[in-house]
Amino acid sequence: MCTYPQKISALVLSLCAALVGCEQPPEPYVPKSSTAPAVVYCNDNTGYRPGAKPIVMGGTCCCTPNDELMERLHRDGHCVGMTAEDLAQQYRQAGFALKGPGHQRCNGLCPQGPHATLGGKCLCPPTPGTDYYEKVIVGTNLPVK
Amino acid sequence: MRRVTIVLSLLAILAACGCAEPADNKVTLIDALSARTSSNPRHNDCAKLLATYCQRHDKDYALWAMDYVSLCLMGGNYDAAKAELMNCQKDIASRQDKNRETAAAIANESQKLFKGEPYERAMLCCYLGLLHYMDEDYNNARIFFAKADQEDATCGDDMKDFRHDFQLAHYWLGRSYLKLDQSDNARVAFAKASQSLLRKGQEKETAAIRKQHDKDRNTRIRLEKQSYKNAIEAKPPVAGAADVSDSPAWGEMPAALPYAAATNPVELTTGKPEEFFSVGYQQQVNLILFIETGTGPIRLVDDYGDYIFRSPYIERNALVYIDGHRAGPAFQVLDVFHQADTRGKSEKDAAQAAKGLTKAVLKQMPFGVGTAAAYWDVRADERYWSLLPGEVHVFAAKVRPGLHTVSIRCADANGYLLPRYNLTRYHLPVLEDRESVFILSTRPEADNVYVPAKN
Repeated sequence: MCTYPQKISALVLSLCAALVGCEQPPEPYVPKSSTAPAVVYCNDNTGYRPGAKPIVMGGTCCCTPNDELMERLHRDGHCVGMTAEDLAQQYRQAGFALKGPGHQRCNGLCPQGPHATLGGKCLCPPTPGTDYYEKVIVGTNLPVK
Repeated sequence: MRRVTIVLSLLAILAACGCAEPADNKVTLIDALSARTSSNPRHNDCAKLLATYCQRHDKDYALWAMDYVSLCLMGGNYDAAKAELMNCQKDIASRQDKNRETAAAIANESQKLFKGEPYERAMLCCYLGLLHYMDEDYNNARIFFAKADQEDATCGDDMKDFRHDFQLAHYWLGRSYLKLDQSDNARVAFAKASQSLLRKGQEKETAAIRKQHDKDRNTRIRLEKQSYKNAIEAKPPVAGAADVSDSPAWGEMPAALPYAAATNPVELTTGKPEEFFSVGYQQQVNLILFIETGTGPIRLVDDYGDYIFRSPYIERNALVYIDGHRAGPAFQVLDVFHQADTRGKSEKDAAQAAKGLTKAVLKQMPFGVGTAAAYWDVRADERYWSLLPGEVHVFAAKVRPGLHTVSIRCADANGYLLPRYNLTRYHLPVLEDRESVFILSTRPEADNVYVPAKN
């Protein structure tokens, strides 16, 4: 494990590394698509995507169970007869960690992470404005840099 | 003399290198500490690495915690950031170690507990305030933003004019007051947020940066042309490669980008500071972007003291597009170097200079005293929050509720576009009944999806 002076060395080295080769042409620039990809996996931040079934049932809805969500799920023919607590219980039994006190905005940095759409057990809505958010809502098929 | 000592300390630091983590580790300390400039930062992995340093809870705890928090904020891990910020703040306020204080008084200053400089503590309070604000805990947000102002006020007597110029804290203090229905207090806070004081040598520094950026732009255009040529002449050519050698002035940027949505979602925006920092405007906005650009200042030390330098980042302005429509500029509310440079001189600095001078005198003494003195380590405190941004800009507008694509276009000090620093974020939710606040950090190649061909 490093000591503090070594931390400074690391920083200076990284700065030097950034400066080295600054006269070289940079790598090619392939711009990110200007069109937003479709939301595949919905969550509390994107809002419920009509027709989506809860992920615990093999669907693409990662929204936190509540009465409003249940109403919409029922309207789409999913979870009929279930309450929000029933769905939350099903998630818990399957080992998923839902959004709750102390688990509001972990963005995958929690013991249950990564997010369920990336193969983990975390169902905390991802933080908008991050790379992680874009990966989670699209699923695992994003091209990795 | 001063320059020589700075160069020598830089060389000493480089010589003392050997910081790489074991090869089997997935990320190294270098990865973690260069996350702000990395084209592919792995925030979660880096945060996990720094968490192990925080857990040691040694004299450098607050320092590691600050860097850890920066990684968490960049990665969107606000739960972890808030918890560590609270611990760190308590630690700074209450932890004492007299033995270490005594040791630092006669030897290397970095032996004592790290508690940060006024600007670092102010920034820590600002982040805490912001996270409380985002949780709609406006009273605690107000308390932390006010505390940030108090921390800023602890700078030395020679900089007393700069004791309440932490504009970032004043801006958010104003917003917190608005939420608490205290519009008169908000008005005062916004007025303070809009005032930037010129420090000694600032005009000269700005002119030098502009001159340097002008030179850099010419080099950049030349190298970008070469890069594009290489991309299209490669076998096979790089699919989707774009020529980004064009670096237009900010004012020449179009009102709508080619892919802009059919309707402009921005209902209210402004480019005028006097309007932006007004209660009337701030009451109407529902989307606020907290945009961090560049990298924080660098600190170098010798036996006589420490010296702070602006790190050589280039993105000095930020322009916001929403769904492809020009929404306006983000206003600079923090220049971290300015805050670091106006921390002033304290008793600690005088004591450090005395230590350095004593060592220098002793080194001239005969009969082995000089040789022994040469081994006396009296260096100043070299520790600083290395993952701070260079600047913070704030954008606020009234936007139609829904999911929006936000694009940040950065410009250099002369207002010329830096295409490699474009930052596009998809599906940012703007809600019907509450405001949306997002923390964004610019970095090189954020929008570059080029994947090098594997050999």
